[in-house]
Amino acid sequence: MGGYILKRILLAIPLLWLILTLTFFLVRWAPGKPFRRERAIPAEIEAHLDRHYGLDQPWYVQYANYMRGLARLDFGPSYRYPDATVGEIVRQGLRASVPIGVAAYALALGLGLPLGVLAALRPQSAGVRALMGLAVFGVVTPNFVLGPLLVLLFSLTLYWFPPAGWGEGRHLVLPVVTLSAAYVAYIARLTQSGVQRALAQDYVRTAHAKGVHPRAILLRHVLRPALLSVLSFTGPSLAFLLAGTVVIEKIFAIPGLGHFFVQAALNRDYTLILGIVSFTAIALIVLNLLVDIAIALLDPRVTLGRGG
Amino acid sequence: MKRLVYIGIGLLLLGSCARPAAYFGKIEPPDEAVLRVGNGADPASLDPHRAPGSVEEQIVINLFEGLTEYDPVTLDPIPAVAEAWDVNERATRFRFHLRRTARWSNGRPVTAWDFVYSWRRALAPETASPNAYLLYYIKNAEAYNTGKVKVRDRRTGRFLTDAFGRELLLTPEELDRIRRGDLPSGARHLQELRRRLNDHPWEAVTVSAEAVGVRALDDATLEVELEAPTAFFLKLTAIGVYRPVPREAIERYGRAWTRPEHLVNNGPFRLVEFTPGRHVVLEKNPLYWDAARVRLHRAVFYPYDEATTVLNLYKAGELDVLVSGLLPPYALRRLRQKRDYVSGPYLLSYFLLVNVRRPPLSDRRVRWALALAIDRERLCRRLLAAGQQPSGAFTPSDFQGTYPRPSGVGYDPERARQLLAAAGYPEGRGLRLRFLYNTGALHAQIAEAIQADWRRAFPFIRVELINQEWQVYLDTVRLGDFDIARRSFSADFSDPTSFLDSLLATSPNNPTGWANPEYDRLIQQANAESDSRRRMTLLARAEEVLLDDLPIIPIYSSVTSFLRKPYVRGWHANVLDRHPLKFVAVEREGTAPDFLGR
Repeated sequence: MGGYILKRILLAIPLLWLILTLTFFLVRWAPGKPFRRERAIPAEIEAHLDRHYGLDQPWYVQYANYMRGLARLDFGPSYRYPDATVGEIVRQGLRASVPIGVAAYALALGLGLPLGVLAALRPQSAGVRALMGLAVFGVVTPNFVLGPLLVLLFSLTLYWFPPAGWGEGRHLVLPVVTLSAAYVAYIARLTQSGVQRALAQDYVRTAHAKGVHPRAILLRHVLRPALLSVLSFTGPSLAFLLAGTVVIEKIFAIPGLGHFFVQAALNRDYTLILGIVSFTAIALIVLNLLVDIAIALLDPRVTLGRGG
Repeated sequence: MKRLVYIGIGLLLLGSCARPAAYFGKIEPPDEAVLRVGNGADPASLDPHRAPGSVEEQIVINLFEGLTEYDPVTLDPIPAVAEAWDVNERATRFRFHLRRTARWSNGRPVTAWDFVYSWRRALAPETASPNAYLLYYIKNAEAYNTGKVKVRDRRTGRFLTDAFGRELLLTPEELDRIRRGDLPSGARHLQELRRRLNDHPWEAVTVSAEAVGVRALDDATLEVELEAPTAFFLKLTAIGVYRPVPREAIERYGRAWTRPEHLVNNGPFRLVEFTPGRHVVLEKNPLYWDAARVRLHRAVFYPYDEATTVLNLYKAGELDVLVSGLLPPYALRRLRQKRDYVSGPYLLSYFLLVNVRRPPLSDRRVRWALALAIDRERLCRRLLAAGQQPSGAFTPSDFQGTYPRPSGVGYDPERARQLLAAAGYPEGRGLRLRFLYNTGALHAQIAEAIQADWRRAFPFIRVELINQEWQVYLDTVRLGDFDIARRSFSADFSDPTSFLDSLLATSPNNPTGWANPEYDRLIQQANAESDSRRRMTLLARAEEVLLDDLPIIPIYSSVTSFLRKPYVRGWHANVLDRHPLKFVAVEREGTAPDFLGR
């Protein structure tokens, strides 16, 4: 298993290099420049700015400089925020994106798992079906509709929560609820089908026949395999949540990674774009690896790095 | 369940049909003297020399105090670090007398040397200040910033000048060409110069920081020498790039000097926190010389840019005031009836750039026909709900009656048809145009309205609308790859030159390809004129030349348009949308009016 993890990590390095190289050239090919505004500035001043950021160099020199910086984990200064470095801005973005992402995911698991189990155990109950219906409503309602609806009701009519902003606990409620809505339903459906599949297995019937307590059967023999599918869904979706959710951050004016990513792209802030892309890529690679390891630990049928 | 739904719908309806004349949302003042500003974007930098636009300016002017400050209503210069000033008769030399009580937040007095250091830093090529061009009125500033050279006659020791008495500036490349005699036929001014130079022994002189026309006569006296008579120089000294920066902090911390823990400043507020994407927090500066008059304890600038989000936050009482231009167009008609809606004239012109290099737009009659066929009145009434004024001129204002602004082009579809027919395109037959605009605001609707006006006047015209993302659009315009392109232009300071200079043949803001020596001559003549009435007349004549040629087609003059809670005092609508917080207060029980009596 150790060898397998090492191999995955070694494979990740060329993958990251490829992603960053592609991004590096794509953003430079896009028309526009980091410090263009509506009012054009004299050519000499633009030349000063280019020189200041090394943009007057040929592309291969810029590329080599950038890669040399990366090797030292230096993502360079942001073009949009000349007083800050890319590292600082990414950390800043994470301070907002991580709490929201984690809270939304925790809420989704906390609601989705029990709902899925209930739906599998009591498929005929009207209450459970209504709840599942509500969850499906959460999936089919895009978050850019759900968010403003919640704002309209809870912020502008009832004045319970602020309509947007960041910094205090009260700012968390609406974005977290909006963000988790879709995931609740996904997790509930995945759990439900996993539990149903597990319930139909022979070993469950055997356990019943042996007189094992139903709760023990549920926890040990049913939930464990049922959770595998939820887990493999968790990895990538958690990575996306951590990397910031553009739409939610826009609606609720949250200074998360997604917000900075969009701004960076619009401003042609080359270094910031690359910094965020590399963070997202690393997060995806690491979380996927963690999920694979977790599945191997949970599921005796899976061994890593052999066969296949 | 059903009942819950009905209650929900009922609540939503209640929220949406508030009384029209009332305020918009909550109007309880905050618990302390804090002002929460919706500022529209994150400041790129809090270094006044690196701060590129109005978002930054709005914050920076409260941290750093210049020689003069903006009057919150008229924007006229009022004494700040300078308590008095004299100017010579030609308006080429200003002497500022600094108040001895002004000090930096580390306790050190603000001296004339601080301004010498700061202006030299703003102009230093290494600083790469995007706004350095605003300092070019100062003697030798442009030459030092751009690395251009002056030409001196060895016999007389004098510098060569142009027809208006301004010293000639040459780029190193131009100098090199003259030396080598490599003068292409297009470079007529260089050939002419070469002929002049042949008569004299001459030398090229590079300009150092020390040669820039700013001197400290003593700690409290600053003397500024200008390139040419500039009566409006005092309007410039309040601009961010003219404000002093602390040498000790910059030399010690480099790029990080604007962090709250390192920042040394001299304005009415000090920096507490800057978190990109979240907010900038300022707090009253107790060491400020006029601190007794500063009534806000705290100010928070929020970068929210999503129009609906901003509106929601304002309504919920999380923002007290918004800078102009943040309101969503769809809500304007309703918001205009609210008592907290504020609007006033704004120095911003909305117009179309015409690429005069391309036939048939190189034909003046075609440009006139297109301009005459636009019904600006209707466009403003139907599309623009904030009260924008239809405009036939490039400058958006008469500058408080000082500028005899030409009325420019009007609406006359009949004459438009005649002109276009005379140009060889009867009823628009054979005329194809590509109309470029960028995503956002109402640009698409405005472009469509103009397209419809043109179709109505010239049934056979074909106008293709091209929508591009902002940065792509800026690039396309720069490269001159358009027939017609929408554009807006706002003033840096309240003077017609802030607009008119942008259409000089050499201006980076003139991508139309239009170059009219008569226009350039009139502007330059005005720039050398010390009598301000005559100067304004010359500028107006230049604008008439411009509006006769129409390399741009004026559409409307904009307005500021924002929301302000009833308890906010001292934040007024003004033509640059600048709001020094020194004059602002949050009125709770029994707050006195501000010291200017407003």
